[in-house]
Amino acid sequence: MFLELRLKARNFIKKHKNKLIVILVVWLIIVIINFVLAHKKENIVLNTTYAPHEVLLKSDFNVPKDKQNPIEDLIYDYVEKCNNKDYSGAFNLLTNDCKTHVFDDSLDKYKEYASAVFNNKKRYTIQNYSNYGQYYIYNIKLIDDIIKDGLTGKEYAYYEEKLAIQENENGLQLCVNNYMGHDDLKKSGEDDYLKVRIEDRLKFYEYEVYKINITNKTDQNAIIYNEESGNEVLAKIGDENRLPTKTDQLMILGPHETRTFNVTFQKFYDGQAPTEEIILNKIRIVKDYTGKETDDEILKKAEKTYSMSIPIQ
Amino acid sequence: MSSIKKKKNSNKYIILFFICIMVMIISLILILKITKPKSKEEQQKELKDNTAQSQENEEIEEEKIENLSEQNRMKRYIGIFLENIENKNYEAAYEVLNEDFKKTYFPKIEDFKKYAQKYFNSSIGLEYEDIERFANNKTGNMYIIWTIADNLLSLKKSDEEKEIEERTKFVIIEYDYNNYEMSFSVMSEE
Repeated sequence: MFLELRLKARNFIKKHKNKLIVILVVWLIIVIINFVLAHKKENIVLNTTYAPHEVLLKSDFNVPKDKQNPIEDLIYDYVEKCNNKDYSGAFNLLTNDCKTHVFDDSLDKYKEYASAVFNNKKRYTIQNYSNYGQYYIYNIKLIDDIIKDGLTGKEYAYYEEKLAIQENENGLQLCVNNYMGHDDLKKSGEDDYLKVRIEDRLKFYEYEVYKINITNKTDQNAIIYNEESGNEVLAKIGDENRLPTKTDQLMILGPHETRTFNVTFQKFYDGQAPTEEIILNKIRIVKDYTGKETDDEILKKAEKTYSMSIPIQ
Repeated sequence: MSSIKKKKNSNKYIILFFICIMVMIISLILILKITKPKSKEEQQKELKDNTAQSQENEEIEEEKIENLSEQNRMKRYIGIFLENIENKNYEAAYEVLNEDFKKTYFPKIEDFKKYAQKYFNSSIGLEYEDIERFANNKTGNMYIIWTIADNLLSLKKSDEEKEIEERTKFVIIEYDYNNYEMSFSVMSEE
């Protein structure tokens, strides 16, 4: 009886030898994987409401799941480098665009900025704020390592800015100092009195800076912005005409003079309405100008008072 | 000769086959034992067997903490810290403080003990005012908790007591449940 069984078993094994080996190997692999997984210690995720990649503002897109960890790694790497004063390493994590337009490709200028922000060793927190254009925009807050002093004799205070993260041929890179981008506008307007050229626009998260080159073609003075008259320079953004928040100098040109001005307007990078035109709203061509005249006196003296708009779209 | 050889070979296959079957059965039993959830009775028995009472308490505490919101966890950590002081277990309270913080403000445990007796004694109640989170997934979550300390025993407050009735800020970094370090704003001893 056993002989018959043995013979049957032998024949079966001989006939299906290869299949049995394959089944055995597969089965062993399953057993091993199962064992490893059963003994693998799970990473403990603390029960918190913190969701760094949940976007705060309504955005065109969300941060894809596969980008979330690399973004966290990038920001961690950046902060660590700055904390360890490895400014050259941190500078290399920036986009070329940011290096050029914010720091003039100068490591020294970057060091000046970074050493002011990272004056002490910092801890940080991040939150996806908005996703717009080609960027994932994160808000980063930096605070001194207050666990070391328990805020003794200090008020709770932190520094914050927007970090724009871009994926390009070099992988994920950063724009810091609220910088979002740059447009080479080269838009011009010209008449008998002035030649105006809007060279470029630097876009920061909350504002835009226009570089405006103006030539006075006349033998007289051209007063464009002297902070006296009001509504002298405007940016048309949607239905709104917005005043500048800052100009680097008064826009007054002598006869045949050419100068370049930097004019800043408040505008959120992810705001829906685009900037349509820059309006030089009160150009006054005046023969004799001492700088002490009142607005009314200038208007009385002015040979020509007019407005010029330069479309930038 | 050749038939003997064949027979030997076939015996080898049979032995191999049975070994494989045995290995499979043993592995299966092991997997079932490992993955099978423990019954309530078994768990209770396990609990009874656990003679180290303090360790048992710790486990229960940890389980509870996992179910708490982060705000309540922070309150619990501060509560444990104050409880240790109240129970005169200064070493345990001192242990959770950040090393740099200790070096600066309480280099010796006696310094901490003296401070704790004055500012964290049982007659002083803490009221939680606000909490702020400073989190990232790389270096742990830091919390700042604002509290108001109030002397519960005294109706007429002396100048010193009024001074004590101040805001104390606690800073906690939580690495894991029940794994944290803390510091607090130290009141000047003028």
